Amino acid sequence: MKESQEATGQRILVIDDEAAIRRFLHSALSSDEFILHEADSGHGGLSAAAALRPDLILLDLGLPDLEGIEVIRRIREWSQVPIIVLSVREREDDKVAALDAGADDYLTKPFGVGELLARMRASLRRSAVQLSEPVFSSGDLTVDLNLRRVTVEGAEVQLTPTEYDLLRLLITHADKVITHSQILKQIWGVAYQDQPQVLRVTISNLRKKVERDPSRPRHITTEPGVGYRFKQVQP
Amino acid sequence: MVAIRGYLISLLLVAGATAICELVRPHLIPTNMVMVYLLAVVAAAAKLGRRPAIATAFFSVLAFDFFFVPPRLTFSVAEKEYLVTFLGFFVVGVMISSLVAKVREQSLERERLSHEAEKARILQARENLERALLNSISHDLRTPLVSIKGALSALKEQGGRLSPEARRDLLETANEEAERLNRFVGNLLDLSRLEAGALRPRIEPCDLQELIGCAISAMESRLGDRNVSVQLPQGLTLVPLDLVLMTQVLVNLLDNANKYAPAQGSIEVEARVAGAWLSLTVADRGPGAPEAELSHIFDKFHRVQVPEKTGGTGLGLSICKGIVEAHGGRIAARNRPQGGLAVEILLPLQQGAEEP
Repeated sequence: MKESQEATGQRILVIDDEAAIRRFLHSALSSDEFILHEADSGHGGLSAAAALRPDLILLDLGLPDLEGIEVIRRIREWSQVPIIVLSVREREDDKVAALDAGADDYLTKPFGVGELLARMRASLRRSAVQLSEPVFSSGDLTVDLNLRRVTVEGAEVQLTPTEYDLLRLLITHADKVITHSQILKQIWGVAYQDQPQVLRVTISNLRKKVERDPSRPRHITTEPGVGYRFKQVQP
Repeated sequence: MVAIRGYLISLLLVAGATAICELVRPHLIPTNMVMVYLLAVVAAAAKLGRRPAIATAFFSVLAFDFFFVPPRLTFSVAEKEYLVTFLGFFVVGVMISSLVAKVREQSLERERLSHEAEKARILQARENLERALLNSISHDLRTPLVSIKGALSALKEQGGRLSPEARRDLLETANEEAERLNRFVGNLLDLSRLEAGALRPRIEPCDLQELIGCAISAMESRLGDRNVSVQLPQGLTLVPLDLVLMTQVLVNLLDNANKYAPAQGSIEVEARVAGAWLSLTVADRGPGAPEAELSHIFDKFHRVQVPEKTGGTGLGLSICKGIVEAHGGRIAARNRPQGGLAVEILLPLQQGAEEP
């Protein structure tokens, strides 16, 4: 699989109005693995996205002509291409709004290239394989989606139906942030959207069962003020 | 409007006194009922001020005459002695009104003055802080920039002649200093948001273990393999706080402990319930701080003097204080008897219980 990716190169569209940042991304990412295209405005980005059909979009939220959130909404009307938001905004509200609008991930500027590459590869991987395997594993954790069987270090753990549903939701979006309201809506229904406590308690119980040290979770990590992310350890 | 309300209340007070007198009428001679009315006058003077109190005295005389002085239910008076009672009551009433009202006005004035003095003190303190901020800010912003610019220009201009180790060192310096600069800018932004009152905690029930986990994972790269021990109370899971802001408080405290404590010493994080408060303590085994400095370490740009370079900005702890206080909590530092510094945070377990 890797060879074919390298041969063709994944098309990456960068939408950012800062020339210095486009230049930095260009030098840092251009390789056999990626082919970079650039747009310096929201409208420019939208037409480039339609013309190029990129494999992944890196989007700055603070564009001069169009709010980044609006760019995400318009792309999502016709495409499920992975979108990673790059933003200097540190406020959690902005991240939540971007994710709820359909972004796949976000990185706060400044960031290291290693971190960016890891997120890009995770997003590309996710869009390529839509959890075709019935058995998911990450480090010491294994989830058999057919048998609804969860094991940690080979030993089976008993989860309540809600805990299992939550774990399944997290692993089917492995390496992606899911916001509180997205989780609440999917597991508990729209009526619970303003009650994050139920989620907190369930996460806490789930961690006690699947994490070796719940104070230092390795699998289910918290993105404070935003949501949760399942960190998949590649075998 | 307020004036009319005062007089209406004085009428109510008189009506109340009259009702009480009516209840005790079988047991009391009319002159003793005057005492009940006097009580109404004192109450009016203390709560409503001088004029409504005098009005209360006046209404009291009328009510007393009408309801209780024979012949009852008329304003006429059979025994002329009662005219002395009326006059005496009225004069005493007016005097009491004046005295009580004066005390009340004095205490209001004192309150106003001390309020103004407090305002002036805060203004002065703010000015001092702002001056310190400007002095310190240019230094703290420039220092990392000097290293970054120096390292990058060396690489750009001399890169070919440098050994691979030297190049790697320069790159690492630039990278570390850029991170330091970024943290400093973040701290400055937080502090200015806190001071502008724009950083309002969004308080929700949060998992304590999650809070500590978030802080430790944010510190992971800086902690290296240093041991952090965590002690949590049994049975308490959800506590009301802003997860994002309190994570930052713990990160700053851990960062501080990490900087000052010897490399092998462990850091202890302990949470427990102390009455109506949640107590969170971050303790290290470092040198602690001189007793005289303990109360100042939360001041902006204050740095405990230590010989070796620690690279602090003097902002972390003051941000902690700002965030904790915005939660209605308190923060304090003490030296541990066995050596090391312990910073304790107290947060109200019942949010809003503090407010009047």
